[in-house]
Amino acid sequence: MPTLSFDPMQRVIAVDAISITADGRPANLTVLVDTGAGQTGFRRSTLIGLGIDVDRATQIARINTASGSLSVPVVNLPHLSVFGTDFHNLPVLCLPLPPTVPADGVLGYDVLSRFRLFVNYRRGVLVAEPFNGLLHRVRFLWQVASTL
Amino acid sequence: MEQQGEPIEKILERYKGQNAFVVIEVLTVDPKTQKPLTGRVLAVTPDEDEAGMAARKAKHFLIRWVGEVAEVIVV
Repeated sequence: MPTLSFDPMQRVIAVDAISITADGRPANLTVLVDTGAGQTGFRRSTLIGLGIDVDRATQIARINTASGSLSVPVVNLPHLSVFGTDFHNLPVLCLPLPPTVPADGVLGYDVLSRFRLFVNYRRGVLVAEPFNGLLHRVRFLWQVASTL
Repeated sequence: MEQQGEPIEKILERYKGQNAFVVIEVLTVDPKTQKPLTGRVLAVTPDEDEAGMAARKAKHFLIRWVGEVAEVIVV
């Protein structure tokens, strides 16, 4: 499971994730692995679909992007499953992603920093294993070796 | 047939190039990978709020953009 393939022709690392709403409805998401993002975020339509009232967010974060800085709502995502690992009540940003970005959101440092990551861009393979002891470390090395 | 819906790839192909979000209720998934296989269309709209509200009606949903995709993406 933590060895995932992506389309290198897209020039982004897009992977599948699943989120579950507070009332138990699942949603299939596509997220970008964004090592330049400090925090995970999703587009407005996705958060609304997940039953989250974005306009009633009590927390606002100021973010800096390549095109300037802006303030965005921070909301709690009840459940996110990515790379075979579950995250509960994850604070996420509501991002004004242009529609032309082919994803529902981005995975930032808060999520990515829980994993050992290896990317083979030429083959379009990503290996992600959580920092969960020796077994996962061995699995990570074995999977990396098999992608070389 | 109605309950099984249509293959999701086929649905997205049909709306390709419309510069809109397609909101799909997922009806079947691959039992091994959990990837969505079939579904039915709930809404086709360029409006994010509308797409999100339509998705709230589904037991299991996905939202896909079916328009132009940026050549270079900086997030």
